Formats: sequence, structure tokens, C-alpha cells
Amino acid sequence: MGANVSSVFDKEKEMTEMKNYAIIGFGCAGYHAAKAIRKIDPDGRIVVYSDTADPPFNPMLSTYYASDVLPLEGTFPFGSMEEIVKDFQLELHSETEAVHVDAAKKEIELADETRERFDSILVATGASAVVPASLTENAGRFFLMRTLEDAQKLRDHIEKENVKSAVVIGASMAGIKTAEIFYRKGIPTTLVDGASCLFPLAAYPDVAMMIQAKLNDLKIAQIYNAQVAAIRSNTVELSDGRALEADCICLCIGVHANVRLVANTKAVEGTEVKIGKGIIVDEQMQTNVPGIFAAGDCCEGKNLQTGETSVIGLWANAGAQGECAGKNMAGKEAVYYGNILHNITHFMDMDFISLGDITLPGEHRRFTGKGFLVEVCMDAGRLNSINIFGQYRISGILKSHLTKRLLQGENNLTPAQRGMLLAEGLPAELINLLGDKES
Amino acid sequence: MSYMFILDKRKCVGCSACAVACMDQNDIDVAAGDRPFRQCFTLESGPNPEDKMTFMSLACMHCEDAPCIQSCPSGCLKKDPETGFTIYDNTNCIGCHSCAMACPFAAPTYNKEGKMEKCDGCLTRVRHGLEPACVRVCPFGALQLVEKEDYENTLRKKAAELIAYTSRKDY
Amino acid sequence: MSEDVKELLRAKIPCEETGIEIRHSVCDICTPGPQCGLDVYVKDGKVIKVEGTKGFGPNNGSLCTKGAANRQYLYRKDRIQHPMKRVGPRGSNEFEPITWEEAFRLIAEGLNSVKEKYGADAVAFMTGYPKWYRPWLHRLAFSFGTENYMTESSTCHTAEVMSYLLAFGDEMSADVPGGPDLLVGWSANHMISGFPNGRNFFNYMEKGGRVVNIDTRVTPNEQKADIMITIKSGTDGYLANTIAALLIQNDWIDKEFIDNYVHGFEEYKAMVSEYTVAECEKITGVPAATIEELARLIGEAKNPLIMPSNGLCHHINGLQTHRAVVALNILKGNIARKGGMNPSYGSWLEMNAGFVTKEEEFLNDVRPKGNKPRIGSERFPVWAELKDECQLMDFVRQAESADPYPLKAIYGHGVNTMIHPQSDRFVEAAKQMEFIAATDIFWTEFCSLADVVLPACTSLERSEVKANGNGCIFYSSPAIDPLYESRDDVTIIAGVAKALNLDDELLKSGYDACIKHIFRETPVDLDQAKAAAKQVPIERVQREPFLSKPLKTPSGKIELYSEVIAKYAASHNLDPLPKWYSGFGEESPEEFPFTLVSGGRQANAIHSHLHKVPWLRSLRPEVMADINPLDAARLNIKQGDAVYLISAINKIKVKANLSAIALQGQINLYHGYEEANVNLLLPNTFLDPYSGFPGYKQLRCRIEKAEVES
Repeated sequence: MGANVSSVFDKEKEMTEMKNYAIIGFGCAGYHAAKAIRKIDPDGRIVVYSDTADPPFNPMLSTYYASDVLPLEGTFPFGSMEEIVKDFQLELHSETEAVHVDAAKKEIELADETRERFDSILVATGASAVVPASLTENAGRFFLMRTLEDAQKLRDHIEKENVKSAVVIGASMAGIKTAEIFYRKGIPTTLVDGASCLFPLAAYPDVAMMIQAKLNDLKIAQIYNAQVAAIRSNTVELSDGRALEADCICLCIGVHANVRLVANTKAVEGTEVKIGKGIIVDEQMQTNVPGIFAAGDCCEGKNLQTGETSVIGLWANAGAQGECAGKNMAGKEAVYYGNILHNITHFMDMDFISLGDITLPGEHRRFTGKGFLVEVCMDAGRLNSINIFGQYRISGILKSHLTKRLLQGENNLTPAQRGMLLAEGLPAELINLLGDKES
Repeated sequence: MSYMFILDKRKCVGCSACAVACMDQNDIDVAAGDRPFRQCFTLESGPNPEDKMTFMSLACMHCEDAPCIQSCPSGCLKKDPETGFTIYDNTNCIGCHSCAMACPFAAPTYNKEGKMEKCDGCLTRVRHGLEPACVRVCPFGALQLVEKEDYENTLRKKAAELIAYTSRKDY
Repeated sequence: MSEDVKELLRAKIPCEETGIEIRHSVCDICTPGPQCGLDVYVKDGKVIKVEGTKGFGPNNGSLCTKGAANRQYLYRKDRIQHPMKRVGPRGSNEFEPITWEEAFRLIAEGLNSVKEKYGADAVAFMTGYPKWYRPWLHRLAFSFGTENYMTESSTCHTAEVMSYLLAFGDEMSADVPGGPDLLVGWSANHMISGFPNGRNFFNYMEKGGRVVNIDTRVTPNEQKADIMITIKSGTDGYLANTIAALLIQNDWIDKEFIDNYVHGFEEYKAMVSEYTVAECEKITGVPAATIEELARLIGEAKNPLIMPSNGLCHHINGLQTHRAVVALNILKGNIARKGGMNPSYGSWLEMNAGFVTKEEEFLNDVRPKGNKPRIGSERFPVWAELKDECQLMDFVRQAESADPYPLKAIYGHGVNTMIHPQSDRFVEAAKQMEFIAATDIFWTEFCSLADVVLPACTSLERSEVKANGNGCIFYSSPAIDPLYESRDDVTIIAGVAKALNLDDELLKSGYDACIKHIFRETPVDLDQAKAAAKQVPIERVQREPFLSKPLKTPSGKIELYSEVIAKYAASHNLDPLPKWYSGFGEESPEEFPFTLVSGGRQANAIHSHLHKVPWLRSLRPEVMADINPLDAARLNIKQGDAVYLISAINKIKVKANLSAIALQGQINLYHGYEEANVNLLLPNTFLDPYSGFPGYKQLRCRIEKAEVES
């Protein structure tokens, strides 16, 4: 009886005392967390620390801004900071860097050494472009493609300098989108990657080869298995001795999670916040330290296919994770079951879609239709991963199918989905292979 | 008042009148490769006459927790608070097809400029007291726009064959 | 412009801010039939959207797939824009625009010259779709001096009418809303072909009615029925007669009704007594148990309605098949009562709206005398006796042979070359004409054969009176001005009558004067009806009960044994009883193992005139033959493969569509495609000797994979 009384008392106490929330980093995850918290807790104090003065920016839009497809305001998908602050009643600390999270006291320390305590803290610091130290020594000028500032620099450079040639290091999704900027302007471009093919993390080798051939047809030079040794002046030097001269050099070899803030954070018992490639979180988006949450590109959430945690650096993923974290912070239990690796890249009027972990084993089957190719990797009648080229419309059905199978153990395609897949020209054989008929 | 599209599968014959009405309402240029926001299917379950055929009409389900909204990198999509429809402003659409990958029903289409378009539930018509074009045309009243409350309280219990279009667990 | 107004315009909201107006018109795409009311959204004289008119009799707010595409139909890119004159050799398709005056003058010269040389009967007055102007065209033929008027109904619906006339002396229709206690749809595809009738099915089922559907294709009507029976194409007559035998054997018939009202029952009974369930199963492919179950269902029902459809007549045994199916209603006495077969008196343009008009007099007043026999009347005497038209299917034979007299000119509206079996023979025959005038909305193959081509407009650009089954008329006004230089068909006919200087002032006076003449004793104010811009009810004419007086048949009774057919039994080898015979031609089943079923309706087309409407074509872009997946697997044919359909006389190339809509051993192909005209496969002698109808639905053929294209 006594325990019940005390819990009722605790709840009342919670309800009467205004809660203090902190969000460090204000991108997609931070935004959605703030939105979720405010929906549940109309009175709580939500403090946002952002290292820029800009509203939440989508790194995926940087190439679109750099190539003038989008105006500056178009790169802020949630609108202006004033509106967001007003809508969610945030206490915004812009251009303010949080340097440390004290997990034991649940305090945040700022660059000016001021500290403040919170009931819960969300780390949503995102990710940064990888720049190997070896390339920064005595380096020539090169451009990154992650932040708004990166995009602005490249945009200015192309506008002001008479760029006649370009080298893009990194045949990743960001790399191909960067190469597209030059392609659209008719600037000869070379794509360089250390891997043996394009999209090494997402494409099956034969699909990659096919896309490479299409890029060749578009006069985009590609060099694979090539380690970049240095960037000097206007030249990319490869470890095999080759040197590529270009008016514009871009580095798009990937991103790493921004974990520095919590890297030395210790909880009261002395445990450290677990970090792998990102900050490791559970299904509530909570770190191993109660009250400290992480979401978005800085964290490692559950990979549905492997059951392990991994960084799935995708915009929608960050949004869902942020929302889940926000709900839990505000006391409403929520679970984010995780995600699968998935990617859609639309470049040079082509679509490449990869769903699932391509390193998982299975039998590969390839199907072609009018202008598209689908390759599936099946393991004992179950879909493990899929590559789609030239057919974006079916991607959502297949992603939903794969996710549903992993989450609910169901392998059926609904009549609506079957109908749509048939209408989109998928062979019946493939549809039957992918999923059972609804009983 | 929140609405939902429902399809009475018993009465759908897969005639595509709804798809053509959608084309007429939205000036869909099929000659240029554009598609209507709604499509019809006849799904056959086998080669024999007694094998069941399923006739259906499919468009944006206007999901409650629409996955397309969060997937859009440019924030083009949102829920209309009045009707519950998933609506959009494609000014900043970059044509990345992320919403297509998020949609379990292949609802998003893209216009000649590469910008996303989809069923908006004929929001403006509904606001003016008119049915969505596809609902108006349906020869057998198979496709309907109903108030969500009515559906939850009555229709759903009445007819097992009704497909609920808003709540994805019912598709 | 404010954002709000922009959005209102985008959403096409009719209101003051947008200037979008709704005008009421009618859809004429599949007329006569449903005749649905249209709300036409007009902005600055242009149609920007259509939808069905709420409260309008047949459609009440809805439209079918075809009707929903009225805007694109109206603005089809190949609309004929100006009167045209041929300047190259016939068939060269070289034309140049001329004035209406010159066009009328050339037509008058052309027709009068043929009349002078060969007589008025050398001119064939021919029509396809639409049908709204038919009485005017028919009258034009009469006033010109010939009875050689012929329509596409020679291959469509007239055989069904003949079947009813032979049995009842009047046309009949099935009263589904009246609520029979069992509904047997026989070849019924109304959910696709005519949705107001399809609605009747659903309404009937919702009230708990039991539905059996019998068809050779697996249509939505089949799928939605309580009991679906699939049957080999063209064997329906055998099934009907077997059911009849079982009904009689089990005393499941209305003996009293038969004694009082039916002629020829004993002969009929003797004929059907030779039909056995075992043989029926073999011929029809319907399992014996199903045959017996169907007989029991019909037998135990009080007023079962066995409802045949047009498709039954599209066989060379079609008329007899239709008669055999109708006979089941007669055995059950389900005639002239609620939920039964009831007389359908045409009020106006074949629609039974309960009132009467002077439509027949409109023709008879100017009927010519002393003419040569109408085209087809010697070959198809049953037709000739029942129908005041030529049997179009005999046109090519007579044109080629000049037997019994030469044909030298065609005056045509909406003529479709492709409805002719062996259509190429019709084209050749047309090329031999001395003069052809063609009026159409769109440029067709027939136009390319003509000397003068005239542009007609659609129903949205004209006025007309439509009668509806709900006892109303609707007198439309143009929703927009006619496009280009087009005119409505009746105005064109009046112009031709003037140019020909015919002694027919009424015909020359145009639509409004004629319609007032035709409706002069009908209790309705046409001016008011037109101004009302909505359906106007007309008081129904009270009629005596159908069976209370002798019928218009020779015996005055319902004829199971047809006295009309009996007259020609010996001369034309016809059977007065609805005895079944094979509907195949003489081709070898080994060489041609498949049955080609064509002429079915698909939702997105009707005949040939919607295939070029992009919205509709997008729903089935390729010309595809439906082949059963099991047959396809056996022949290693995959979805989308190019295949040849080969008959004894020709072959066409189409794509394969693997679908259970086609039974094993049968192939379904829709018609009216210029690029793959199925009727090129049919010999032009492949006709029903009773009705003259082609065997569209039962041609022996084979299917072969076409060579792989690089």
C-alpha cells in the first residue's frame, strides 16, 4: 500500500514541477524531439543549444543549394528559427557550443564554463564530414559537402572561378550528387574512390558496374581502387603515382558521428556513456546513462536486420529517433524499433535504391523490366536485401515489405501492394518470390 | 472533422473510373508519362475461373502517421488539421524520391519538373462541400469519403470487406 | 491573383471568383443506353472538367470510365476541323479544306449523279456512332428515294431485338429492380458495359437477391455473383435447352401459363427432350452437377429472371441461342409481371420512357415506294421481316457482285470500317464506289476513303432531346460552342437535304422543328424543357396488360415455335424452334485449337472511338490478347510477349496478357484497334443465317509467339 501512495505522490510532484529539457544540436532529430516534448508537456522548459544561428538544416540539401536548385530558405525544411522558437516556445542558445555533459549531475557545460542542470538531455549533434589528417597537411584547396557553409563555399567558387574541371573524391551518395553539380554545368568530372566500385556499401557489384557504365556514357570519368595520397594545389595525388589536376576538388568520403561531447561523460556510478561509431542507444533512444538520450546521425540505433546497433544516417531516421527520444524525455513511453539500411539516390535522371544489408548472404536473382532492374538477395525464401535501378515507385512497397517482415515476421504482400507492383511492370515471378499471397 | 477514404471491395469492379476522374480533376498528362494519383487493379489469384479476382482502387491512404512526412528532406508534406489529409507544398521539392521510398503504397508521383505530386484528397473541393473527384464518379459507390468517427463506430463493424484507407493496419 | 483564387482555380471550384460555370449536358459516348447527365465545368468557353449530374435518372452523379473522359474525348487531337475534299486518288488520304457551301454542293452533285445513273437504291445511307441523329439520316434516305439505310446495329443489338420480336411480337426487357426470386445473368457484363444496369445487380444483391451469372469470360459480374458458371463460347444454347429439358422433366414449369399464352410448346418439348446432361457437360464444359443445380434453382424459383445479353447473339448460332435462353422465362411464365420479362415500348430513340412520340410517322410520312429489295433482305429474310433497315453485313457481297443490283455511293455518318468481318474487303468495296461522303467527329479510315468529309461535333457542343427510363426527357443546350467549323449531325443532314433540293421541308428545317413535330402530341412543352436545363417528367401512357390481347406475333401468342422463321425454313434451311447448332466455322480444330472471343467490352473503351483518348488508353496501352496462364505456360508465352493470332484467312500481331478472364482454350481480344483489328481474322461469310450477325465470339484460331524483335 505504502509503495502505491508514494508513487501517486511522485506523479503529482512531477506534474506540479516544471521539467527542464536540454537539446544539444538542432537538426532534424533535435527539431522532432522539441516538437514531441512540447506536444506532451505544454509547460516544460526546453533549452536548445545550437552551434549555428541557422534553423535546422538538412545536409542532404547542400548539393541542391550549391547547384542553385534550392534558394537558401529552401534548405531549412522546418522554416525560420523565429517561427520554430515561437511554435515550440524554446529557449534558444544559438551559436553556443556545449563542450561537456556531466552525466552524474545531468549538467551541461558550455564553452564559457557556465553549467546548468536538466531533467533530461538529448544529444543530437549530428555528423561531420570525414577529413583524414593526412590530407590536411600542406593541402591545396578542397571542398566538403556537408554543411550549409560547405555548400556556400562551393557555390561561390563555381560562381566566381572559371571552373573547367573537377575531381570528386568518394563515389558515395554524396559524391555522386556532388559530381552531378558539375555534370549539370557541363564541367568534366572525375570520380575517385578507394573501393573497387561505386556505392560500395549499398550496391551489389554487378549493379554498381552497370551504373558505372551509364556514368561513363555520361562522360563522368571514374577511378576505383585508388587511394588518395595527398591534395596539393590543384592536384589530387594518388598513391599509385597518378596525379589528377582539377580547378575544383571535392572530398566526399563519408561522415562520422559527432560524439566528442559525450566521449568523456561519466555517470555517477563511474560508467562511461557507451560509444561505438556513434553514441549507443536503446529502443527508447536512451544511452546507457539514464536521462541522457541521443538521436540522429550522432547515435547508433538498432539495425533491424542484424539486431546490432549501427549508425543509419538518414533524414527520416533522425526524425523518427528524435521524436521517440522527445516522447520518452517528456515521460510518454515510446519505442523506436529500429530501421534497416536503406537509401535512394536520384542522380542524373537515374534512381538507385538499396534496401537492407547487402553483406548478408543469400541467392541473388535479377529481373529486368521496361527501363529498370531489380536484383534481390533471398535467403531461404526471405528477402535479405534488394537493389533497384530505374524504378523508384516500387521502392516504398518493398521497403515496407522488408521492414514488416523483420518487425512482425509477416512475409505477405497485400493485394494493393501486389496490384501496384504488377502495374509497375514487376514480373509475377518476382512478386511471388518476394512475398506470400495474403490468405 | 477528420475524414478517410474507404473502399467497399464487394462493389469495386476495377473499372478505373476513379482514376480517370482523378486525371480530369488534376489535368494529368498521361501522354507525357504522368500518372493519376489514383489507380485501379484487378488482381487474379489463379488461372481457374473459380480463383478469386480482387478488384481495387488505390491512392494515398492519408495515413495517420504518414511516413512520407518525416521522410521529406525539404519539409514539403504535412497533415491538414481540418480533414486529416496528407497535403503538400512542393515549392522546395528537390525530386529526390525519398517520399516514394517511404510510402508503402507507391502514392507519390512526380511531375515534368520532377516535383512530387500526390492525392491531396481533393482538399479544396472537400472544403467547398464537394466530394473528391474519384468518390463522386464511382459508379457503384464503392469508393467513399467518410468521417473517421463514423467509420470507427459503425462501418467498420458492419463490413469486414471494407478497406480502411487511413489506418494502415487495415489495408 | 491571390493565392486563394489560384487554389480555387487549380481545384476547379465553380464560383464567382473563378468564373467557372457548370452547364448541364449529356454524355453520348455509348448512346443509346445509359444516356447519363453531365455537369460540364466551363471556363472561358472551354471545358475544364466533367462530372455526373446528381439526381439525373440513369447515373445520379456518377459516370463510367468512358464518360469520365468526356473532356479528352471532346478535345481529341484528331478532331476533324473543317469540311474537307479529297484531292488525291481515293484512299490516298490527300485532302484539303473547303467551305461548307462547297461541301454540300459536292455531296449533292455526287449523290444525284449516282441516282441519275443507277437509281436512288445505288446509294447506301450508313451510320455507326453516335446514334442520336438516326431518325434524321433514315428520313434523308427515304426522302432521297431509297430504303437502303443501314446501321452498326446490324452487328450489335438488333439480333436481340429480333429474338424478342419473334417470341413476343414486341421488344422485351428484364425487370431486375422488380425483384425476381432468382436472377440468372446470361452473358451479362453490365458492371463494365453499362453501369446503371450493373447497379441494378448490386441493389438486387444487397436486398438479398440470389444471382447466378453465366459467361464465357470471367468478368466482374461473374466474380460478384453467388454462383458463377463459366461456359465454352457459343454453347449457351445447348445449356439452355438442357435446362429446359430438365425443367419439363421435373414439372418445374408453369403449365397453365404455357397452355394459355404459348404457341408451339409440344414441338419445343420434343426438340429439347433430346438434350442430355451428359452431352451438355461435354459440349459446354459445365459440370453435370452444376447443370442440375442450375435447373433445380430455376425450377424451384417462383419467378426466376433469366436475363440474356447482346453478347449471346455475336455468334453464327446467336439468334437461336438467345431464343433458347429467353424460352426459359417463358417456361416459368415469368412474363409481363414484376421481376420478369416485360415489354419495352420505345418512346424515343429506343428508350422506353413510358410516353409515345411520332417517331415512326416521322419516317413513314416520307417512305419511298417501288424500291428494289433492301440490302440483305434476300439473304436474311427473317431480319428483313422484323427490321426496317438493311442488314449491313450483306453490303460488301452486294457491292462486289452487283447482285441483285449495283451499289455505287455511300453517304455515311460515323461509319467504322472495322466492324466488318474481313474489314479489308469493306475497304476495297468502298474504294470502288463512285462517291462517298463521310461525316464524323474524328478522322477515321472511312474518312480517308471519302470524297467529302464533314466535321461533326459532340453532345457537349449541341442540343438534343434524350428520353430516360425514369419517364423523363432532358433537352440539352450546348455547353460550349462547336469546336473549329464542326456542326451537329442533324444540322449537317438538313444542309445536305437542302443541297439535294429534296421535297422535305421538315427535314430541311433542322433539329428543333423536327423534334417539336415528333413530340407534337406528347404532353410536354419542349421550350420549357429546354429552358429548364434538367430532366422533365412526362406522364406515362396507360396501356392494357400485355397478355390481355393478342400479341403482334403471327399466332398472336408467345411463340416458342416461330411462325416467322417457319416461312423461310425450307428456302433458307432455318429452324422455327430454338435448336442449338455449333457456332464454329469449318476450320479444323487441330489446326486452329483456340477459340477467339472478341467484341467484349472493356471499361476504358467502346468499339473504336475511345482508343485514341490518352487517359483511357493509358489504362491498357497495348493491344493485348488475354490468354489463360495455363495455356500460356504450355506454349511458353510470357506476359507481354508479342504473339500472332492466326485464323484461316489472316493473322494479326498483339501482345499476350496472361489472365484468367480467358478460359483455357479461349483467347479474349478487344476490338476496334486500328493497329490490330481483330475483324481482319473473320471471314465475311461467317454470319448467323437468321440474323446476319458475325460470329465475333467464336472463331477458331491459333496463337504463336512472334519473332523476337531486336
